Amino acid sequence: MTLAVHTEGLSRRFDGVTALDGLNLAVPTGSIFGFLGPNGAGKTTTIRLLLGLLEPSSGNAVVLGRDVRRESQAIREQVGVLLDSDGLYERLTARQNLDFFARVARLSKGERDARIRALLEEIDLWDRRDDPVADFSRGMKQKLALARAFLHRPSLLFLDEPTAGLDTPAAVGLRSELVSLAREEGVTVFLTTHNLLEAERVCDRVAVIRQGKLLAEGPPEAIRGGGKRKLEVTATGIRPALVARLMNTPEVIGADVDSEGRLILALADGAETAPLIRLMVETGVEVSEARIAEASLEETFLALVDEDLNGRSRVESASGEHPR
Amino acid sequence: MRDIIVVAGKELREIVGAGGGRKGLVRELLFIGIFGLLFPLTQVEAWLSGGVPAAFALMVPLFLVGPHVADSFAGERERGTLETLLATRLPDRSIYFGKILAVCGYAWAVTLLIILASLLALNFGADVSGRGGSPTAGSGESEFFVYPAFVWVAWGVGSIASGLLLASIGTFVSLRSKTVRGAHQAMMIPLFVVILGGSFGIPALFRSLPPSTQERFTELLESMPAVSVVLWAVGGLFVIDLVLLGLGARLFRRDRLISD
Ligand SMILES: Nc1ncnc2c1ncn2[C@@H]1O[C@H](COP(=O)(O)OP(=O)(O)O)[C@@H](O)[C@H]1O
Ligand SMILES: [Mg+2]
Repeated sequence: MTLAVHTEGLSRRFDGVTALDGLNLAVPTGSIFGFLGPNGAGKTTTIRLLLGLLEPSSGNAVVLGRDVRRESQAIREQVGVLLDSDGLYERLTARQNLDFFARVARLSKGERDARIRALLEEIDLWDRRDDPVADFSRGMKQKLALARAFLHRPSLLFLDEPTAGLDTPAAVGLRSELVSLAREEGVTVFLTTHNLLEAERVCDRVAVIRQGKLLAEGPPEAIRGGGKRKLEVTATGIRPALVARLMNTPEVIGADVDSEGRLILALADGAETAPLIRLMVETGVEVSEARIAEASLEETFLALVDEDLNGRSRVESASGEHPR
Repeated sequence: MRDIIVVAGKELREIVGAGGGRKGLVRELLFIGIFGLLFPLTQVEAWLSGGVPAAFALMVPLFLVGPHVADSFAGERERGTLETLLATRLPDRSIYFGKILAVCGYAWAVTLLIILASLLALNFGADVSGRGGSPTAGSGESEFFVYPAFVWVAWGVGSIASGLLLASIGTFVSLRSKTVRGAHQAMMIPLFVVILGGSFGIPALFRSLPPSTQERFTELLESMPAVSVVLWAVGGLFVIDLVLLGLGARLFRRDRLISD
């Protein structure tokens, strides 16, 4: 098995913040690899490191057989990207956008025209080819940016949360375009997401990352093995700082607040709950009810990857301590 | 080199606004109207002598380059295109010089349009028959006035030299600005420094010289053909440009652009 991406102890610190902490990753060539984690987990930082847009603080990474520190230029030559923002020039038309990137990739005139037409037809934007991108919906822009990523037939694709901000039909459409193009062209895909279902639907392998650390790696079915149980806590006085502390215990792999204001803790396999309750009580939380339940697959991962996990808003509003 | 041209081509398309940039063209027309038609017609004498158009050929590019160079990196950052551009195979230098080439080429072309417009204005809008300058070998009475050679030199290379000056300074500003607005505001400072420095600083420097040196210098200038004077001035500008561009190209590194 050859590896498209291989990292060893890859780390990156921004003064004070450790965005990525000793990442060991192996992405098999030809796979669609999901890099799953909540906001701020370090997904974008990882992609930037792999593209040579950021220097690693320590550790190593090899992409397509090339070292990210010394050969990033060669890496960028062979990869396609759809980053955080779509990267399209709004003042230019769909065709002008693709044409620019095709020229950058040094495709000949004939190749450019044929490839641009084929891709625009594939994503149903051929009729809108001469409209400025500024007039496009977000879904159309993402599709166009996806086409741009495939333009020069890269052997590896980096997609940073490609469906974030899309409504469900647009996200479904984009995913199916992605899967069919990836299979057709036989590229390796490295895709970040905070959406478990997305990872399950499109990925052969998944790695879960939180706070810069790798939590689990494997086929999606294997990942969902962990965290089958959850602890539902009805209590008052839960503060964000406490949630953060709970998250840092080995027993807890995810936290969330449900619609009734209960704190939901996704538990690691075989985790004891007593230390968690004790921690809560010690910090002044009044626990009125705590019960262990089977977590649905979705709940487990919602807790694990939910956007608000570290963001305070839901916990704060639920605890009633910090009204806004 | 090919990469530089590809980047410059994209930039020019954005500047001239294929698709959505009608507002941009209004600015160009306004410039041409004011500098190319209004001014020559209100100050015919000064324009015919060639002094004013030569000075404008050096100054107008500053105003043309300013806003676009401010936009060059800050705009890509604000509109979320910078990182994707940096993730391409393009070498750092091609991106940097491509952007500079685009704004300077654009300023050069618009300045030419202004000069051509002023010629039309002078020839058809003012009575210039039998005036100085160097008339072309038109046949007989309907001679078409064109500027003396030094005006064309000032446009041909001088507009590029001054455009490069502001463009190279401007990329520093643009690279450091988080927003386009901020970049535009920050650009006012180098613009004023360059303009005030050119129009007051150099004369002041001259006056600070000992009188004997001043005299010798004046004599020297007067003994030289106007074209040589322009060429010397432009040459000096180019030296400054080269230093600034070298510095800019050295500082422009993609891994620095993302981390802050
Ligand atoms: N340029 C930067 N300067 C300082 N901190 C950063 C920078 N980029 C990312 N971070 C921090 O690193 C962590 C990971 O960020 P990121 O990789 O963007 O996460 P994700 O993409 O998973 O949402 C966050 O805490 C973020 O605040
Ligand atoms: Mg991100």
